[in-house]
Amino acid sequence: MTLSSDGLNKGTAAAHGLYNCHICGLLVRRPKIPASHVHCPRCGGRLHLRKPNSISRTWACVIAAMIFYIPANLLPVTVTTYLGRSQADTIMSGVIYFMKSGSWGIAGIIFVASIVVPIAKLMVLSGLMFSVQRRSRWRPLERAHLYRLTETIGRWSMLDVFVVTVLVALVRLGYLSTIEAGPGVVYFAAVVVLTMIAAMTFDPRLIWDALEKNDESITD
Amino acid sequence: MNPSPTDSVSDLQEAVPAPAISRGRRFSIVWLIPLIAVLVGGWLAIKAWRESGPTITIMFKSAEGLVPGKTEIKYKDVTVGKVETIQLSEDLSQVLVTATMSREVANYLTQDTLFWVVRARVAAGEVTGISTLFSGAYIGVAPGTEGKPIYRFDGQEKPPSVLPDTPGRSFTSRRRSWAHWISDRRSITVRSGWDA
Repeated sequence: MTLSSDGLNKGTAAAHGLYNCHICGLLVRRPKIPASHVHCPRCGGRLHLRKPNSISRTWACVIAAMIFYIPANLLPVTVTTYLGRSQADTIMSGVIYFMKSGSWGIAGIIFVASIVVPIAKLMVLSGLMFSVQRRSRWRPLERAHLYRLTETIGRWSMLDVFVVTVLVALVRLGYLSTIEAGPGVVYFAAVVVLTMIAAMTFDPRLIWDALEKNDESITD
Repeated sequence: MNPSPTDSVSDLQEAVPAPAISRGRRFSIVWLIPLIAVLVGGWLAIKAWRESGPTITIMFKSAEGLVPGKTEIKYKDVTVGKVETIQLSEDLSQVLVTATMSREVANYLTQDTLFWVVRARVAAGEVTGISTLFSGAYIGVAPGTEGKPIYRFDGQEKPPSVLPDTPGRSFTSRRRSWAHWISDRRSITVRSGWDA
């Protein structure tokens, strides 16, 4: 039995050769002989000590989201036609439009939901991944909080997509005025979905693994 | 022989050779996601780069009805460019309109290319540009035919009465007696087929 001298880790299930099912939460004994397909005796879910392949899955989603963030901001998200005059707006030009027209509240909401939150999420996730891969012991509690915050606020970025969807459906006044969705919305939605998947595939327990003295057994 | 099953397992573990442990496949399928992102992003970038044409400057007397970032340049009602900025010339006598043109017309921006602002006009005997009352003014262009591409143009104040691609021959009348029914230096088109 390899018990860490560190008081924090004395009671971890992994140290006692146990793990729990990620789906139903049942505590299960780990098989002594490494096996590839281990299932929960209660619900049949796949058992693993950490989310499988967490680091490369999260990186893949984060990198893809970073790439899609560029066309999401450069391509128009709405094409407004008013009396035959059509105007294409990107996310930022929409924010500036609302600011100029005096709607500071709406401008602020769109700016936070569509620009601040996605950038913050991408930065936080990349930072967490770097720190986990370097087995950093730096401020684990703050990093765990940061992860939970990222996971919680992620879905709110979808707000912009919903705003466009509702506008497209509502403003259909024929020749007078119409609003159409621009190609940027698709890429923006892809960014939001990919960052949400990235937050899901990231295993926050990897933050704590670096604190364990004997962590060879954790890399399952 | 020890009857305990755990001991027999540990005996066995020492007796038989350890398995060769490989790290599994190196390339995880999730990396297809960023790969697709790179492909899509690259395709968009190439498309944008291929479609972007030259930037030109057109000089007009006035920028009435022109809006930077919105006013389009049209040929045969097909959009071939967009006004980017509008500035005053240094001596304030003219307006400099910079526009990005689409790549397909890049070769036709030559010495004899004409630009003019299409806005609603009521002239002797005709009313033109009614559609611009709602849509806003746009810049009309008559593509040039010969010469090297240039990037600075003098805009016309009025649309040319005969576009260069109109079939026929153009003549200019200088006879004074026609002046009462032909307005100022107006050209008359003789349709091809009539002249012989």
